[in-house]
Amino acid sequence: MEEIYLILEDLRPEFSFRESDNFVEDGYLDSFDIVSLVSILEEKYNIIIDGLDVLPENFESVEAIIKLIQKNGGNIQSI
Amino acid sequence: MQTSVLSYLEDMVTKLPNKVAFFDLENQITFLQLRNRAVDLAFEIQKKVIDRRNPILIYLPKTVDSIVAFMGVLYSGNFYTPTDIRFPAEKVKSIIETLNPTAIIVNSKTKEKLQQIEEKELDNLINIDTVEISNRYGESKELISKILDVDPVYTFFTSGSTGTPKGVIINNHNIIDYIDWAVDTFHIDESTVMGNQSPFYFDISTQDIYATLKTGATLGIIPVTYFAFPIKALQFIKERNINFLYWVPSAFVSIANYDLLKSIVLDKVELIMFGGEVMPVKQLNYWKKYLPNLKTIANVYGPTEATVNCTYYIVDREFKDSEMLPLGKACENTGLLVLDDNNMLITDAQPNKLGELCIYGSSLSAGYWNDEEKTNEKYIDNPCCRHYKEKIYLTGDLVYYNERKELVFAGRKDFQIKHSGYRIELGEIENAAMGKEEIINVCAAYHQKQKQIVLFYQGNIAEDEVRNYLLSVIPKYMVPTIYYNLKAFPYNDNGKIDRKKLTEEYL
Repeated sequence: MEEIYLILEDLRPEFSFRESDNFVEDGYLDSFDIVSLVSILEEKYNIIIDGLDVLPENFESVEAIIKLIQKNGGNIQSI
Repeated sequence: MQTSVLSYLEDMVTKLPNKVAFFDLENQITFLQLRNRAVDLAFEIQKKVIDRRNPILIYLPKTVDSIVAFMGVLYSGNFYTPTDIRFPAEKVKSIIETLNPTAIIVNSKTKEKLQQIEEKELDNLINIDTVEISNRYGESKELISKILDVDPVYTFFTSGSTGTPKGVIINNHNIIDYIDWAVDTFHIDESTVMGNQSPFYFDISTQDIYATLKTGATLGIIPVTYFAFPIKALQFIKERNINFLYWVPSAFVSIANYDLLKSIVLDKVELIMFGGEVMPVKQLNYWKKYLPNLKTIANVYGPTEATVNCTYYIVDREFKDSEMLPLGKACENTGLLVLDDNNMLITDAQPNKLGELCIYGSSLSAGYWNDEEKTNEKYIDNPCCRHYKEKIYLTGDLVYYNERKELVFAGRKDFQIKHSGYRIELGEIENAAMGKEEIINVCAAYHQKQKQIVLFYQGNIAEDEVRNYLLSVIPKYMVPTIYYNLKAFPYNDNGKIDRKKLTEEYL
């Protein structure tokens, strides 16, 4: 979990992701951030994220992002 | 006689009153409803703003309500400046400071936000949620009759890849001139359903909005966030039967890069057009491959100062991924001059000779808001018109004619560099790099201190491989020596690659 927070905070240091219930609704991630985040996750976890999975619900929280990584066979702890 | 763009709306109120003119994710509005809400708002504005031709700022989310606000401002005899509620506070402040708006249109939610940004109670706000019903719709034509075609419609603040924002003033005859051409050229009519991507403060939206009003077409406003999750944009297009897309290239590119058109077949889409930056042919060919009923592809070009576009090219032949689309030829009733460094005219009989593109004609704006200096710098007397005064606009873009007598974009004058004695167009390097299959995004820059050419690129390919490829396609003096393989590119508010940010961060 911590490692995802660190990635997000690196991407948009001006936002407090740890206090947000929904990154997408809060407007923390624009289209450029999503493209960056997808590439970072693909490289770090050695996975390929299908364009069809680039959906708001898969990026709205750290839990959702972890689920997306696990779904694609990436090795990451849920806690 | 049409002197105001509002005549478009009045005509549609007569012809197609109950047809849906604009829709967004949650709401829709017919031509008649739009006229009536706009007239109500106009009378509300006139309570606060007594004279005419004043700037009115729009601070609303990108929905149907924004269109109501634009039309309401025009009926009131004033002109509008759209902003984006996602703009950073500093940008909003700077626009308000430069524009000094007489009134600001808000809704109940954005009202609070704006007062927080301005750190004070504002007394010139008009809340679109609490507009009084006037029931004075019979007076709408009388309101229009006071408008001249030289009266401003809007001021757009260009984000300016070069620095401070400039407010470009566009009037009624600028839009009428441009829209006449666009409607004829792209056969826009009642059956057209356009899918809007462009922010309302960017000139692509001028075609979206006013071509809809002139022809009785329908405009679907695609939610801004859907372009971060492009599959949502595609679903919206499919479900809402959108058949006409005029977007910035980066919106087309991201859908191609995610390879989404395989999963959602957009069988209604008949026309795609793009402008604002260079459309890479690789991603265009992807769109061509997956749109089964695509009839027209158009590459359009023009600065905000020339309303929307001044050149166009309807794609009429195959292009290889490594090739570049030409800008084509002048739009009807638009004058173009290609001038060399000595202000001498370059003609289409002189292929490959580089010059700056200059524009004149009825679509040319009067200049910049509150900025005489910049206006005089960019709008000069036509050196080819010796016997009377005529203004031309210097685009700062370098072009040449190819052997087919088509204009081709060669880069920004500011991006022309001198390196080891050679004059180099950074755009040419970018174009060459895009020819490599693995590269999906690219930007060339010049490191002034180290005197080296830099290439930023996105794609799963090693630096030396890129370099070797470039050595095989462009002269060695043009091949970059510093490489940055980026995960993604930064974009500015208009969806264009943010060169300034790249340079600031890396060079």
